[in-house]
Amino acid sequence: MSIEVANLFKTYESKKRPPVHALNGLDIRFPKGSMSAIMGPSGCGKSTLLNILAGIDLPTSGSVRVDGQDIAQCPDGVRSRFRNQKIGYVLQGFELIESMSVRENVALPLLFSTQSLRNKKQRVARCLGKVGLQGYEERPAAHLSGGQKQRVAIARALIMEPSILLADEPTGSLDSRTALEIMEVLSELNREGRTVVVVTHNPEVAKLCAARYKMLDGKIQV
Amino acid sequence: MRKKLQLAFSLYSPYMGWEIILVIQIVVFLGFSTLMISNFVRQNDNFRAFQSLFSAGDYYFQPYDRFVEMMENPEVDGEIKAGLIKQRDELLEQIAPGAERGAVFNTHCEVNGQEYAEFYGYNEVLAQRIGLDVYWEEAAGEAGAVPVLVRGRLARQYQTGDHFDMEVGDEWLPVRAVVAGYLEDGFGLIKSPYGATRPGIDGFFGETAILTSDPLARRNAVVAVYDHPEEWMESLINPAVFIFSDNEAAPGNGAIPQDGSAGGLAFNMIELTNNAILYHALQNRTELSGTIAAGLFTGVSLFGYVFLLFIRNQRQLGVYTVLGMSRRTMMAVILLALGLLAAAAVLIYGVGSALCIRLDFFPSEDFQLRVIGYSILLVALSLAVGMGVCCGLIARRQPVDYLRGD
Repeated sequence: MSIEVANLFKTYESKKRPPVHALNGLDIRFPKGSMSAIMGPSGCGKSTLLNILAGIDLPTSGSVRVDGQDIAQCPDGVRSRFRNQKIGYVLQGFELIESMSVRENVALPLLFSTQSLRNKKQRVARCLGKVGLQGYEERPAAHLSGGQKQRVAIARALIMEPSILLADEPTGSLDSRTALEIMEVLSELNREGRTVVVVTHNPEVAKLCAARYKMLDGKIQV
Repeated sequence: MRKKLQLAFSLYSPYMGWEIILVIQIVVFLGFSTLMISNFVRQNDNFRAFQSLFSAGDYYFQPYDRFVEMMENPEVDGEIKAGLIKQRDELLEQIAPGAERGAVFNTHCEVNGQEYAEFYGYNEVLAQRIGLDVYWEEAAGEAGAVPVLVRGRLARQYQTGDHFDMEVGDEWLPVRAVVAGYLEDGFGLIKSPYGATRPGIDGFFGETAILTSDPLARRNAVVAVYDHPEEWMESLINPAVFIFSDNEAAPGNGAIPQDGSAGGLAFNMIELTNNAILYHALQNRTELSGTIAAGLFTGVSLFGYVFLLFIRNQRQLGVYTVLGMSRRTMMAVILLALGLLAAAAVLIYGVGSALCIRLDFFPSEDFQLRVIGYSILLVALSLAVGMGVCCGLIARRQPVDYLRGD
């Protein structure tokens, strides 16, 4: 699936503070099966862009077309289905539910889909296998290391077999060796045909992506 | 549904502490409000049923208080006493034709020397008037024993045709009774809420009952025995005579005394019952206010819990929305989480109520369906308001807002 972003604006209004223009007429295209890195200083709008691509935030104006469909214009139900079925989103800081086991965390997206839970165990095992965490199903999420949590977060993003994988600072809180392992997992998923977009501060991580974009003041720098 | 249930359970606190407190609170409120509302509804029903016995030409006669004073004070001067008795006799002579038309009394009794019960008597006219005709036919055939209708625990204890011994009234008059039938729970037509005459007779009376205090003096009396005297007992205030008159016997034709000239006052029954309903409502305002306060408190708690659920799980809900939960599903899951707690409370309340009725802790008529319905409706209303505000919050938010903690 390709993603085309055109003339994207996002302004955060606040009664107490002046408005913040996070995105200023941004244009970008992520071809199908590409692996891209978005870099830039803090506050340049990277995460905002990723949130809008994932359909969890709405732009002030502009369009985000995924395979031709503008997700910014879809009603909530359609956008939720889109997030569930087409997008795998690895959130910054893992965002696992600590009170649940690894299996329950990975299987969460199945609860929002219309798919049956019949093959849940096998699907969870397959996804954990892809990220190198076979046999961790019953472990409580709270007992995992940072690298393991990130792998579980990736496995959770993969359970619905999405064609787009978005990752916000996937190596941010990891040591360099674990960071490279995580990037290797993402590269492998890209080689399987998924479109992967990674937001990162780390130039070493960005180097592992075929396309690299720099953002500044809410725009892509040419 | 299974998926939504799984999600709803994931929103509860780890040890269900808040949830258990909320359930207990709802159960307490349901119990409290049911008893309060039931008391109010039952009393109101009694008044309405009582009122339905009368027509526009029916009057209640209340003699002057001097008669009461005399009865309360045996040291009163003999001459005054004799004068008052004469006055009373004249009065009764005057009102007798009306009083003859209907008589009912109630007093206390013991059944088999153990059960303390209420004992009510009707004459034929009144029994027909309050719709006891069916029982009357059965009762009339029995000889050698007073036919009685039983209700409540006594109804479960005795079959039709069973005999038992009673001791009735202040003088513990021994009476052999035969069970002629049953009264349904909640049958409340017999109560006179206005007053009583001495000794221990409460209600509206024929002249014989007044003169002799003998509950069995009335010919063709049929009696009902109740096993919860506290349901019916009210303070015994005034001597009372209820006069059943024809519609033509309106005030002013000389049949009924209307002012103090004949030793008492006559009140129109319809007006009197209307006033009594109002008075009763005012008297119960403390209980009603308590119920409303408890309802509001439960409402606020439910409302607070919705927010607690929402705020405590904000990040979790954020992750769920990122993974594909729609707004509608979120609302449904939160409603389900709350609904399950409310259902648990209603279930516990239902089982508890059934147990209380079985063990005779509360009379079964306190748990009428409509009264329980009112109570549950109050809880549902609080839940609906809480959910309404919660839905408003959900509708305004984007998934990313939950993750940001906005």
